[in-house]
Amino acid sequence: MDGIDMKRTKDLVLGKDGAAFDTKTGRTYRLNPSGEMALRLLQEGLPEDEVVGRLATHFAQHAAVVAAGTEAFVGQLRRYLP
Amino acid sequence: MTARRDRRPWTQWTVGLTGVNARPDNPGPGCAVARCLSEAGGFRGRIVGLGYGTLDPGLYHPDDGDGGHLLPYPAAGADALMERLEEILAVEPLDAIIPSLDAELPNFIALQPELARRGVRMVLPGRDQLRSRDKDRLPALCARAGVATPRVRPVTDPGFFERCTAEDEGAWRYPLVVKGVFYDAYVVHEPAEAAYRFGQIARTWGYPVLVQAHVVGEEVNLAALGDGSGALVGPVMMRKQALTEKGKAWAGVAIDDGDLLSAGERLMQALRWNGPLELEMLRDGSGTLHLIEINPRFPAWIYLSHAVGRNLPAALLALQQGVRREDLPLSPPRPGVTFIRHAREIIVSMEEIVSVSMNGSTLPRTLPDPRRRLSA
Repeated sequence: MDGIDMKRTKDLVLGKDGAAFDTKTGRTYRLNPSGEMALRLLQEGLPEDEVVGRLATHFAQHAAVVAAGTEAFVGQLRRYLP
Repeated sequence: MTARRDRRPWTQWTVGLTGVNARPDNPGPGCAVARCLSEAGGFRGRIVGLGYGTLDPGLYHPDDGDGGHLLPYPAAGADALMERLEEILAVEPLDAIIPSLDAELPNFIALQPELARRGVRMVLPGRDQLRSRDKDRLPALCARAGVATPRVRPVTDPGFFERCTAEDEGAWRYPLVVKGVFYDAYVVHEPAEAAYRFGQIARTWGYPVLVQAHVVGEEVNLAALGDGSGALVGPVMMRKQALTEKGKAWAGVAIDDGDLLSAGERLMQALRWNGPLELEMLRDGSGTLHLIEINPRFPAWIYLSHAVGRNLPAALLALQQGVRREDLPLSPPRPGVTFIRHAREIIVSMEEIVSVSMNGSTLPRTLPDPRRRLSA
């Protein structure tokens, strides 16, 4: 994951219904179920390709589709977690 | 007399608080400090407002105060303040005073030894410490602490704003921030606007007026205590979420920002501050934190410290009584706790207003209402 500080993703505290609170900036975000799972996996330290594999299995989705979505999600994390 | 009073725990002290003005657009910190103490666990003492105007609400607050007295304005000097405090101490022995306004600190620092002899405790920075966080000295302090800060310079001639973009004047670029030494700051976009604000600040606060490079970013603040050792005691961090027209926090959320904490620790180490302080910092688009100001007192949002389990005014009194900083009851950070300020009227009787207007003090009070303390 280019440009993402792994420690920084751990500043996001996941609450109920996909709410994610950034303890560093005080901002709150809302994640959909796949984003929530992706974030949990990234916080565990899984590499991006393994995150894609787990998501594809869990949501019964083609890996290429999941890979595109994960790439976009990681891009959002990069933008919102300076 | 003093020895007897020293044996009482801080929770039974009579505490004088300044900064008890509370105009909604720019409230002083005193009423928030009073609320922190009033709601501190076990507090059974008295809270006395020390105000500068008859309409300062902290003189009359029915829930968080036990009356109050007027003080002479800081410009009257330390002797005038001492004279008035002697009158107050004759009728209301104070165990501690927590000054909460920048402009009054030099007077209180000058009086600290004399007040200590009379049993009045204060935790204050030294004159040199106070001076080293003046706005025009922040670059030198930040260089020692390894913290970014916008460049700043004093200005006494409004013509500077026409010339300032030239190389030999420093090649300043608009927008700029024009600031008073103690209060007020305006973002200005061109020379005429800058000169107007310069005049406005000079008339209100005197010279010099300061000009500072403008940093675009999100404001984050840190309040804490210093005990003179260089340790940052009880840091509470907050991001402003809503502002008044004067840029003061109307709502804010507690955060836990490692970068802000680290900057605070380095600044505290460089200052070896004694007493409460607030750091005002801006985070720019690249994530760099820039120190904008250090306020030598509690901020008006200090009630948030009680809400997150780090009641800093109560901790200050405990430190004054000799409690070690390691033993202060400070909870881990609780990011996400939010405050929303609101304005509220308090009702004051004609007799009370007349008493303050004519005598400089509210009507004599009885002992604190125990119901108020039990609700903490």
